[in-house]
Amino acid sequence: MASILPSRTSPYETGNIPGPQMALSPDKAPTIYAALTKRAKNPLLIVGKYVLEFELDGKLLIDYAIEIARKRDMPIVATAHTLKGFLERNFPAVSMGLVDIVNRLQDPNFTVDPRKPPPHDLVLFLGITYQFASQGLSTLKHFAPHLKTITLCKWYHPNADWSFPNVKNEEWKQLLEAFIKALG
Amino acid sequence: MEIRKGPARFSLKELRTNMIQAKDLEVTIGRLAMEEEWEPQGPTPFPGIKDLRAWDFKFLSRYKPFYAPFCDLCCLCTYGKCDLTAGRRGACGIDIKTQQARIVLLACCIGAATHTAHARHLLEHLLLKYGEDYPINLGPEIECEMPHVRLVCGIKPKTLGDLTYILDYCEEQIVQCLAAVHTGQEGNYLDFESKALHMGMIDHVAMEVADVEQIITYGYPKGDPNAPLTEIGCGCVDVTKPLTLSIGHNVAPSIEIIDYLRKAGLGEPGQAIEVAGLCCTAHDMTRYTNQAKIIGPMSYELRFIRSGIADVIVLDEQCIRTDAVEEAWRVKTPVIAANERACYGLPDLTELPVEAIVNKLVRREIKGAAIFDPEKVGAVAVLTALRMQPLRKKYKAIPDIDQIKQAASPCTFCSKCRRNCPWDLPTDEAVNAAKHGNIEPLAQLYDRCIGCGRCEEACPQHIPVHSLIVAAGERKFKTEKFKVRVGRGPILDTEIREVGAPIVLGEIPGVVAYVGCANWPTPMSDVGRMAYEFARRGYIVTSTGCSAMAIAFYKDEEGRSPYEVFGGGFLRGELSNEGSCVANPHISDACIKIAYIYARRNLRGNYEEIADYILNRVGACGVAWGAMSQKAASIATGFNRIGVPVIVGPQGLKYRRLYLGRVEDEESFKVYDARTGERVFVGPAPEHLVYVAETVEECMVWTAKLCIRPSDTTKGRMIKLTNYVDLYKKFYGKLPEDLPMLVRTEADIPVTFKDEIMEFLKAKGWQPHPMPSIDPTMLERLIRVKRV
Repeated sequence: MASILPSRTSPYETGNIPGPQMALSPDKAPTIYAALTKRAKNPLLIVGKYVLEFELDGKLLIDYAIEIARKRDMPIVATAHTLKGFLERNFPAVSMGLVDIVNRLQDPNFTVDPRKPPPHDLVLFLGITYQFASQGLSTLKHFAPHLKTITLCKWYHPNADWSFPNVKNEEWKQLLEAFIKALG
Repeated sequence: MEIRKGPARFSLKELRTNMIQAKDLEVTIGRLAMEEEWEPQGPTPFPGIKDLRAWDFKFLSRYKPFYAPFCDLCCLCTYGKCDLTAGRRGACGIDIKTQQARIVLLACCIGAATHTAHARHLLEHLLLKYGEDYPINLGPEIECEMPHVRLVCGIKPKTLGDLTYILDYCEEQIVQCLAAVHTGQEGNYLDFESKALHMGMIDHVAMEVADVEQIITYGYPKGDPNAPLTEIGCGCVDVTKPLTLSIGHNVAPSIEIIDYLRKAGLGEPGQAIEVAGLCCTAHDMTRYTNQAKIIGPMSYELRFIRSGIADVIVLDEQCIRTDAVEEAWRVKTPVIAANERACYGLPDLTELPVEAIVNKLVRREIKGAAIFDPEKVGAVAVLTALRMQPLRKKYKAIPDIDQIKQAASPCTFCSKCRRNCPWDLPTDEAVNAAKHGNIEPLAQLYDRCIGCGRCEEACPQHIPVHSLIVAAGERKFKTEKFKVRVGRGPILDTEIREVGAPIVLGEIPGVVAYVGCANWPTPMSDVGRMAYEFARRGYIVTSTGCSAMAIAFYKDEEGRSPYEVFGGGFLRGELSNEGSCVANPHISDACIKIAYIYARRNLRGNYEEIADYILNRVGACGVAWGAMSQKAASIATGFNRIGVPVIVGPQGLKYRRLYLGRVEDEESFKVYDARTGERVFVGPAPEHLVYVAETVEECMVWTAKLCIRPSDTTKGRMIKLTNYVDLYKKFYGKLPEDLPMLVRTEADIPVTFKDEIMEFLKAKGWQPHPMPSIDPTMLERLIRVKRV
């Protein structure tokens, strides 16, 4: 049977179709996401366990995360046990479980970075277990109208506002590098 | 005198009518055996939906529901589908938050109904067999025999027949709560949550009934810490013998298989015939005789059916693959459906003679038979296995290793298998490698695969991906054999006397329960790795169901299963297997018994006070690393209502709701000091009631943390913090940021980290807590001295 949805922008996990509102995945995603990030007043990057496990041509995902954060002086919330990787790299990430940070992000008076006034208006996800991230994004979609979400993973995440399409590692690397470059 | 409904009892000192003259007349309505006055009746015997609502709201104001919608739509009525995205309301007026709570309640109703129906079905069978006067006797070391029933219902059942009334109550409550789910009924998310908590509580009552009835009648271990070890794994059966395979949770037909073997002179299981089981019914078979074999958890169903080793399959109920009949047919294994809740479309042959049913099955006239008489199932299963074995010759659906390459050859590397895998396992890469002659990547998936078969459903080339994984891991599949302790059942009163004080004072750092299903994010041996670590650290570790099985799959450096390393008591540094899913309440019962035996609190109809006691004093934490089912939802919610936090694996967020605290909201983490009535901040103790962890490392850190309680003495808090800090440093690489809230005085600081922590606290501006030692309660009525 033919698939109705195009493979690149259909939910990565085939059955994960939440409803009528699904993420945008534009052709020029890296440029657009970089523009959104630059425009955001208080962006936040949340990373999960894959930042310690995924390598793209010998470069760990955690190093991409740090590069992204440094470009925009953006705080990183290190979920699961990923804090250790940031400490080894002397990056001051904040350790918090995914559900703990998502729970707080529903609150427009919450900010991870005390230097910047709440709320976080843009939240980027990277390297979190697909379905776990999907559920966290769902919470933000429904209950955090004051912020937008972008996922930088290689999977199309329907519950985000903006998502990369489903891509193989080579293309993912290009997308991440283009995004970092566009951040300035 | 007004009597609204039975059961009720009253006595008349003297009665004179035209017909009757009586003195000291006692009248009982609704029951034959009424309660003795064994304890003053508490405020909430047989509570209805509204009776514990105030308590629920109290602790939901600290542990607020957190929702992660799994679907943005509601499609429960013909108005729908309604789009509830981001604040939109449906045609009935419901919003997304309330809808999530509604679905949670529905899941809890399903879970509670499933256990209640299980308990009822088994009870009716046992009443016929043993009679309603069969005594409830759990042995000399268990005086408090059904703590949940005492606590919730306010009665002390004495006979098998008494359990009927308890199930009547459970059934009524389930109907009431299920009715609340109807369109245009309940309309507030907190009220849905209160009802879900109610269902969780009812579930624990029903499970307690289900397990006690089988313990007393089938002669299972009655809390035996030295319950024997038995074997688990596909390699524990002799494949040259006929084999009956039972799948499910309701053990009655499997017991009849064993009884029939004995009656027919075929000896014990394993002699002439192998009697094996999958999922919880296997646990309960080994509690009857440890000669029965446990193949594995639910995730082993598909692989074992396809292996063709079973010569007959008996399905009872719950967690059975719904394609079991079709899968069995492929390998020429006849199926018997033994429970009316799971008929599988098979013809009802209950009234036919045994020989006639066996003939139909052996001649493959039918794929299987529904037989609703457990005794007949026993006879048919054994006779069918004996006759099928030489005919089937263990016909299998799993290819041989040398056929893998050919089977994988149509692969186009489209990755649809991977995208349909719940865990995103690299099945695409593995099948493609096999196509080119390398089966190692497939073999590596053997331990990770949860056996759902979704990869095959997605493959446009119809490659039997799951079968290829099993084929590549064939050597492991055929030889894997581990040791598991037979389910011991309840915790002994004597054990509670030994551990009650050190648990409440915190000197035993916690009670950790590994429970739940087989949707594991990592190899299932990780459950064993966690259990091993916490037993080694001196926690009391308990387990049930598929998790109790998973623990056995871990081996230490000397090749021993955790059950071989640690004793089976409810004691410091020991590891017990309580039994199947319905043995879960023995764990919550242990918490209740600590309040009853150690603290001498009354149980009878006194739920609120005991839940308050457990939440504030009993450092227990459940871990459902692979939670999957609605039963797991209601079990966890039942643990929550009695005051026990639960951690679930990452898929657990699909249950849609957690209970999360926010410790920066200090007011919500204040309790009363019962001695003075003062409100005291107790820190994150415990911080959450349901939490999701993404990794094993995170899960272990949170397990240690969620065992912390306000009642810890300084020595107890020091021991708990030693474990928490040690695990946090090991996995996260530094000291935890919340230490200033958890360290109340210098005496709480672990000796091994003293200097480091002091320096850390100093930098944070930490000050000792004003009232480090309190008698904590959330219930105003328990304050002994009211403040003016």
